[in-house]
Amino acid sequence: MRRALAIACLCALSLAPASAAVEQSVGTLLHGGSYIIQRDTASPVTAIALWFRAPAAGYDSATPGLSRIAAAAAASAPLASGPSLAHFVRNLGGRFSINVFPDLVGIDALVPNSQARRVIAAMTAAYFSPRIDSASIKDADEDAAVARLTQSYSVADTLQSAIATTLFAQGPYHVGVLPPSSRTVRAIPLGAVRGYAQQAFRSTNAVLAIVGGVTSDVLLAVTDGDVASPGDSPLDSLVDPIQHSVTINTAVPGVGLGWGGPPISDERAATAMDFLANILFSSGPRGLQGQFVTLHSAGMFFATAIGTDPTPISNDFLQRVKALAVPMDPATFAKRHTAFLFRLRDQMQYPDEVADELGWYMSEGNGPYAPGDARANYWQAVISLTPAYVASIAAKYLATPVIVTAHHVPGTAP
Amino acid sequence: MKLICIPLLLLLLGAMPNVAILSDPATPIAVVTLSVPAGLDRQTNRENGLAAFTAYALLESPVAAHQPLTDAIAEAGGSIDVQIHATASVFTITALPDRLDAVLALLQTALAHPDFSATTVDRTRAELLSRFVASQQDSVLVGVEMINGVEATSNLFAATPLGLPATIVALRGSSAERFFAQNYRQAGTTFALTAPFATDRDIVGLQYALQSGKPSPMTRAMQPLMGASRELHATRAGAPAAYVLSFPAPKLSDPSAPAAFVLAQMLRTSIVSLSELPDIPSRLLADSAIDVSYDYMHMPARYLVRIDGTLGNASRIVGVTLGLAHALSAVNYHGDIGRFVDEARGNLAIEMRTPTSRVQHVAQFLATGFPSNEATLLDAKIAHVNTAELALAARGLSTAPTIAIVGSSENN
Repeated sequence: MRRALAIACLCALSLAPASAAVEQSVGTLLHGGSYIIQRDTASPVTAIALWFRAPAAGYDSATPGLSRIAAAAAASAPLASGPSLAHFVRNLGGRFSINVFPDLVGIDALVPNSQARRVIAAMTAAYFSPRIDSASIKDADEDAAVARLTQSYSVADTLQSAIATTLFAQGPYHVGVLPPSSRTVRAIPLGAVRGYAQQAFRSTNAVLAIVGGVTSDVLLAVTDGDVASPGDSPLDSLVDPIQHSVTINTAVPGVGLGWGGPPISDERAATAMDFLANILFSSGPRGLQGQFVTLHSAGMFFATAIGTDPTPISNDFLQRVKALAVPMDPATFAKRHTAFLFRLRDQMQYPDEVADELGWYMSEGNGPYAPGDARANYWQAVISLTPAYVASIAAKYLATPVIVTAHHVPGTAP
Repeated sequence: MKLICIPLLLLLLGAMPNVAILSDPATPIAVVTLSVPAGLDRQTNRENGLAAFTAYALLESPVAAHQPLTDAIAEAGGSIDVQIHATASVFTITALPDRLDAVLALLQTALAHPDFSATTVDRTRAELLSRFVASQQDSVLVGVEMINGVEATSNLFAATPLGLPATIVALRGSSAERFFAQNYRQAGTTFALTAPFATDRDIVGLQYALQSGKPSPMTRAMQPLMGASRELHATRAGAPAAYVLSFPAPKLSDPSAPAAFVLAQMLRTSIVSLSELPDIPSRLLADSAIDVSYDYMHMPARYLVRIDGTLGNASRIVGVTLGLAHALSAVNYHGDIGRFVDEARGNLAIEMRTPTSRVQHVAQFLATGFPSNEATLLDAKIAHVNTAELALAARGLSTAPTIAIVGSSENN
């Protein structure tokens, strides 16, 4: 599964549809970049997700938060037709959001079907031909300040970030996604933001995922782009072979646990990790959450326990993890397998979640494996799971974790 | 302006008079709702929380190999949840299409043989207390419930849906058993479901698992509340501060109701603009800091303005809201309302983007006595709202609002 380290993220699970009712179209945009469209005739809305491979701290890893500043500034800059992309979407009755990950940037819009074509035109124009200026960077700075404040209220988010930077020794996941302060943002030259946006947000580096009540005709709305340069490869992070333990200060005590996992190309193993996560987190105590994050190279399995005394929760969790290295009896496995199938299908209800998944998996280098993709690779992997195989994956990947301990320090934000 | 295609247009009435069927051929899951006339209006003040206690005891009732209903349904490939409303307890059941029969059979077993033994009651009590504690960390929700308490048209509707810790620990299995026997009856129960995976035949078993006849007539008259308080205060440890303002709004059956959806958007947009909040692109500050809704399912209907005190100057936003409400109620607006209409229609479409939310929407209409076909017409009516209707919808804004202020406290 994808989606860790985004501000205000939700665990997203979905599954390729079993019915033939879903029409899918995959290909290359006329002016460069990839697209995937899945038509859902019952949906009153269309989800539009535009994804880029974009290192959060810049191509030299020297400017933490650069991708966030560039993405927010592009959405805030006035379009040739008038308002900014963010305002344009909201004025049409839609929802707009930017999700920044260490290696990816995702731009999401959810709009009534009748407005999809206009929003696709505006979104691709705003990113394929960005018009970033000083004013839009100031907006992006305020945006980042709000994100820092929001994250300070979430010990789980703070722990997730600390787990990633500890687990990975190199690469985008070793660096945070937020600029540390407004002062660091103001120190970034305008030319550096523009240069980054022009490189990261070029059409050939983009994946456009669309899910809703529209047909592929909406692609005619994409008029910007440049087919001259090839797209980037997925950006890898390397797991640190030494298992560390670190301590941080937060407003509420907590414990974070992290493990390296299989790459996205190992579909069966990655699906087994999702299955294990579903077992561990669907019935755990309140205050415990986590997931497996599917990445191009090594994925990340993490858990966070928060509360006045999180240690017993994390110790109990580790015992449950250890027990999963022994094959389940067939009856127990069958029940948990069915529960997993249901959860996947349940998440498929959300067009915005399905579009996000399609964009994420294509950007991480294995589009057909996306849960929700009509080609159904993920579904096949779920069906292939057996008790022995799942136990072997637990034994292989969920051994010794990195541990992040969050100590309660009075006065720490909030 | 083109109409938005909302699948609720496909709504049909089933062969049974109390069933609404939504055709949704591409749905990945089957959805069924069961609305039982066992809401807050059926409990007494002393038994605050009994409707929720009874519903959750049903979810905890052992059905298969002594497994609670919720867990058994999860292992069978589905889920079940319940919401307690003023006049109904609404259960939502979702399932893999090929497991729907098995899931409904489990629910049928629980309805036919609910368990109110000490073991089940203990689990139910723990679940409700846990949910209550979690709800207290949501400052906005705390504020809304405070307002519910003073605005309710009767003492019965003033109750918090989950009850209070003091009443939850005092509730007994025998009380829940009586409440179930009196109110979980065939008459008055309504269903909504998705076709083609679910059909009205699927819910016949559920219908007959309930005892025949009508719920017992209410023996206690509703006492009208005489509260005059307009400002309510509370504090919660560790939770961000919040303000909630409530203004009267037209009933959903009122001709000006579609305009109320538009007015809510107009209020929100104007408050954001006049409050001079930083206008950030990735997650518009106002999106998280301010929300205005037309709460048409509440009795009485109202506009709710929710202000998250984490971000921005909440006191200034309250001031702006009060000034704006006064202006909108006193002066007819003659500007272009096209943008607000688009926003209202967009919100409605996004609210109903899943098969589950579409079915729940119809179920709410059925359970609260509105014609279910009204749900299919809302979008078209909103699309044609004019400024005269907007003025009618704004009349309630002249009334002084009820304001709930939830502060953050380290020690409380």
